[in-house]
Amino acid sequence: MNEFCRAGHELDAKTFAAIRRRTILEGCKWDPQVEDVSTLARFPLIMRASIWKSLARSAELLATEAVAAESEILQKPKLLEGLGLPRRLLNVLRADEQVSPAALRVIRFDFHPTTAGWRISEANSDVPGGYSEGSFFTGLVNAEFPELRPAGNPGASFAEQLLRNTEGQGTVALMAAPGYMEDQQVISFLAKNIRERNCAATLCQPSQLEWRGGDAFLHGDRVRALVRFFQSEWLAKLQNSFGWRNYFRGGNTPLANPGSAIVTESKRFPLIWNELSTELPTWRALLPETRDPREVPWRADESWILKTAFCNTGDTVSIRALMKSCEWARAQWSARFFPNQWIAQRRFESVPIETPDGPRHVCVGVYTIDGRAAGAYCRLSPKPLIDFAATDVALLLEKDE
Amino acid sequence: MSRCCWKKMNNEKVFSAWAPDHSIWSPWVKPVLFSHLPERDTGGFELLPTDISWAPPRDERIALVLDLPGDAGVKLALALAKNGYRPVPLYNAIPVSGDAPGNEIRAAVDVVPIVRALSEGANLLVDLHLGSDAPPAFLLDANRQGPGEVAPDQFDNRSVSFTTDFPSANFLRAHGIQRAVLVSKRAAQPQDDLAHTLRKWQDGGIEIRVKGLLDHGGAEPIEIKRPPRFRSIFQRALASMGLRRNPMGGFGAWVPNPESHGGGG
Repeated sequence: MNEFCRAGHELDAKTFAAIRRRTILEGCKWDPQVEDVSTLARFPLIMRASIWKSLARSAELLATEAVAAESEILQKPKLLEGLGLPRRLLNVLRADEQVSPAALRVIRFDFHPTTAGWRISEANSDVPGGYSEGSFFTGLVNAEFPELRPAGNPGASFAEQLLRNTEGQGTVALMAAPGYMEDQQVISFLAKNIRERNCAATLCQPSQLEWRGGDAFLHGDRVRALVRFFQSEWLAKLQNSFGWRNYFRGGNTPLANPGSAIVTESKRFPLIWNELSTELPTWRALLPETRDPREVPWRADESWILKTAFCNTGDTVSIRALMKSCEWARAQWSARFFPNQWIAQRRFESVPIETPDGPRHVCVGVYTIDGRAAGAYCRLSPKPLIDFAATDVALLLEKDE
Repeated sequence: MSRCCWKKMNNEKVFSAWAPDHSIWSPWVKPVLFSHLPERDTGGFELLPTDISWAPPRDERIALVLDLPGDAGVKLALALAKNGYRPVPLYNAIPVSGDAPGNEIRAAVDVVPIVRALSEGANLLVDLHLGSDAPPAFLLDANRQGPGEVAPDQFDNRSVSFTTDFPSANFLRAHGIQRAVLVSKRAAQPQDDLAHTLRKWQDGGIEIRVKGLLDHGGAEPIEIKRPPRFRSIFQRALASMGLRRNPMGGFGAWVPNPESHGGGG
């Protein structure tokens, strides 16, 4: 085992088939297979409790710093210009109206074991997913390993905190664009968790919501809280009549997450750190050096990788050594002509672990909900890049020796 | 005509009938429709006489891709199952809007008949005791991309078939499958989204044929044309964005009705 974590033993075929079936039918996991790859691992990822405690603490510090930085940036509109935001969004965030309130703040920090220790590749501040895999699936796998325990239950924690933070009657509306099955499964799972706590939860799309003086209404009824799984940059493409500004400023309905979360979702967030009075020691320690692509020789030096400012599923992470020449050429062209939409980031050397499927690179996505660690969504990949085809794995904790 | 005996099944049993643990094709079965099966008794399935004389014998190890509208694919697949083919449902649309009862919105693509056919055909499928290596018949709804313009206030549940929804050509060949037959109403080039998969199979050494159910004769060889943006690493995103360009930022959005939505802000 390496110093970070290890793979547990593989479950037998019959047991795993039953877990998989329940996960997709009851846990709203609707994309369990990508071409020839099963996206659910047949074995758990096992981590010592002390290591988890350290990661959880780091995530909590990162969350506290992120929220403080976001607050400062929203008061200094000039800083918003460096984040690569769409123009319409920039204009709304620079306005004078009050920032729309949070029903809760959930952030998922993606940690990777590297030759330099744990490092984060990004913070999913806007619309983090993976709740079903980190909660329901993990719970089912845990039942087969009773000597271990899960790192948390992010789905349950999300629902409980949301209901604790919001009062009154009315349904919780959960919004996503239909047709995006990966998004629908996320809000379906969260809705299920909310309903299990005796609160109405209704799935919807942006145009179904009616905004009256900053309050959201659905089917004529006031909404108690609005859970958003619809990226902020997409909101800015809506017609004004859909009241999309209310997700950012001027709204009264509590949001999870509020649209202002896009500030720290931007991969260009580190480029304005030096202009902040907020201290960001944990970010500075854990995020690889990040620069404007115009400042560093990323074309000649393969220790730099490219990412777009809003890179949601790892789909625009551009690593020359892992790409075909035509793909790299396209990324290179875009970064040269639209540098404000890109970053260059030092590449870290991921340390793979041995698994029953062979060596795999690990990503441990640690959730924080209102600043408290709440579990993890973990993925494995045969290459040092985690994208939509990575395998989801249950993280279980063991006692320290 | 045959009618299978009726047994009560919950959605887990229905899913297991279509995706049994022992079948090598089960991992590809799309679960969305099964997770939306209503918890109610289902009737028996009446298998009407269906002409499947064009279908190759199962021993020839041919993969079928049934791109047929509504529940026609399920019904044909069950007839083919009697000849040893394993139906593999790849339907990927959410059947209902998910709104509270009474507020449910009419869906753009009606997949309820497919849900019903899957539910009612489950017993028949179980009774056939298909082998683990039965050749596959992949099922798609030919109407998955909707009837063209989607009416305002409809629940837009259109869907796209991706190459990643199917096994690779390597996997097919590793299981003795060298040929695939596209079955649609008329023998023609496949729909654009499916063309990506079939072209990729073709490039991977799988011979593609096409059979039009309304055409006479058997399956004919076809050269799958290179679809737009073929092999793009962003095919999933591009397909999504290309299906519908609207203010929601991609396909699958609620179709806005400016007349009925005010909104503040």
